[in-house]
Amino acid sequence: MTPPPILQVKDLRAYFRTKAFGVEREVKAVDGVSFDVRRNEIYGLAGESSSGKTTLVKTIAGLVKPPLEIVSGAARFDFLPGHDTIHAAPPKEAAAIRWRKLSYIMQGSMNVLNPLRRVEDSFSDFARRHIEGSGASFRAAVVDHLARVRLDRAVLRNFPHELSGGMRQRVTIALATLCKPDFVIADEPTTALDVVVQKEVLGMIRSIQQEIGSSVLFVTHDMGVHAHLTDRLGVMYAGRIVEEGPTRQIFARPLHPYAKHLIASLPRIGDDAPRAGLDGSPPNMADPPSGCRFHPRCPVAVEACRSLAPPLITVAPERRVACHLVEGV
Amino acid sequence: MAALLELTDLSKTYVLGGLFRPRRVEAVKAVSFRIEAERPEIFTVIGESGSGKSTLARMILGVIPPTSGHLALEGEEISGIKGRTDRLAFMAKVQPIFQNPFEAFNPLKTLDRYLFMTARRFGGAESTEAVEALTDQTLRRVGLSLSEARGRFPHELSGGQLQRVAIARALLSRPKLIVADEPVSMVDASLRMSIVNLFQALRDDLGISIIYITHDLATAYYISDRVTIMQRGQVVEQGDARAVLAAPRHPYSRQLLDAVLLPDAPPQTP
Repeated sequence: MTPPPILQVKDLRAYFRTKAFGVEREVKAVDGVSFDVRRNEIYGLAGESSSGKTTLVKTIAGLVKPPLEIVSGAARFDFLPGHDTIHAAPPKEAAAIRWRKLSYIMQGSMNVLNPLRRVEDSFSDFARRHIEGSGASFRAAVVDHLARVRLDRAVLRNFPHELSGGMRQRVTIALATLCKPDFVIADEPTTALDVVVQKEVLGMIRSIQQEIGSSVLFVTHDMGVHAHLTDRLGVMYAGRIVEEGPTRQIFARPLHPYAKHLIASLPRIGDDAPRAGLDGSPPNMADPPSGCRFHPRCPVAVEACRSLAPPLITVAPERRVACHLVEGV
Repeated sequence: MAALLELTDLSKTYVLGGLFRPRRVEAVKAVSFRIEAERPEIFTVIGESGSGKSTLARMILGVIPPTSGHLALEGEEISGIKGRTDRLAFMAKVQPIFQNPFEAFNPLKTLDRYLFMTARRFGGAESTEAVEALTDQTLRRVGLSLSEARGRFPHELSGGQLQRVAIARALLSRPKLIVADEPVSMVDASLRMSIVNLFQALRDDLGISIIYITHDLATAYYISDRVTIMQRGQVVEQGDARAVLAAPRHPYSRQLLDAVLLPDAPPQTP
């Protein structure tokens, strides 16, 4: 039996709505997304810029500020029962789960760490209030946890600018996992890092995840990272998930034309076959294409794709695809 | 054979800090290679941040002078270029393409204005018709047309389209060498390969040599004729792209290759 999921996202819609000089604009950044994240798994979200993946995880994390609005749907965590989204929960309840149950690793580690404060101060700023006990025991816990990301206690006395990019990102990973949260959201945490450091940091995320048994929602546009790290994968295009399944299966046999293209276009060392780019341009999210949003660029589109948006349906155990042309496998 | 570009023991040292205890940073140390004029190629410089690859690019573009060594374009020392006419002639021959096209264009200027100006100044077109014809023709080379760029501001185009416009702008002066510094790292995956393929077409159809600077070994393998791998300012390995990337000899090259996340590799099972 599969245990109940830790996060259930149901038909979530989050739009940017602006009103200036009487002109209303609406950008449907997240438009009807449903998926579950199970306990103890790394769920990957792939997609290009403006596919809505960052807006999606921000909405899930409750970081909703105008002009972003949750229009409908739910993103329910099992540790916050009774509320459809974190945004809908009273601030007190939301504050109680932050960092203890849910933490967020962001892309630019420089933007997370206060440049004017030593690393140890950042630790007390972020996490002290969530951990009971004396100052000395807190410090011992921090030093202990830093060892997990292979950092020496000496970094605590450093300022962020004294550390390399990889070390800073390891500090933010340590910060985000210090309270052993049930759920970690990681938004492009390794994109700014060099390849050698990136592989190291990914290994650390995996080993910490296994050690504390949390679930991770991992967002990146880099398909190589997904192949290396995630257990299940959701591919987003223009605000919707177009394909979902176990990462291995998607890489072995993608079903949606967009996922097929993404995987086929990856250059591989030792393979001289020519790779094609995708025609057309990314969709304008203020005025997305009708029907299936991928149809203007799709090599196999048929008439129905123009008018009818395909639902994300289960086509095989564990696999969901939103395409008129993919039926049961 | 005559060399299009020749670097001999090219070095750049930055001096940081005060008058009394200056710290010397050797950004580029004794780099040598040559690109033949008769054999256009895609020459790739691979390195991580801090490897000196961008410093190298800027020296080739004539933006910063080298500290020592020789750097010659068609046999003429780049640091010896003085005066406006020579400078413009040099700029027409060597053109840059940058990482982020949104930073390469002035956000307040329409793209056609920018392209027309370049066509007039570097493309040899004078009348309005000639300028427009040249611009349109060049945009078509990169898969766009003038009607798509006319009157539009940079933010109205996608990153991939804008990078194409940046390439068209570079082509207007009919360059012999293009220095592309991480040209696809900001471009979406679905458009990346079409830009990379475009570089190959420029080499094959127009005979333009391209210095492609990147940290991505997979695209480097895909398009390069030769590669050079840099670490902390020094070239650690250089040679035929297929040979170097298929079987690297230097430990650092091997380390880089090991860190490439292969899309075919199964994820680590928990």
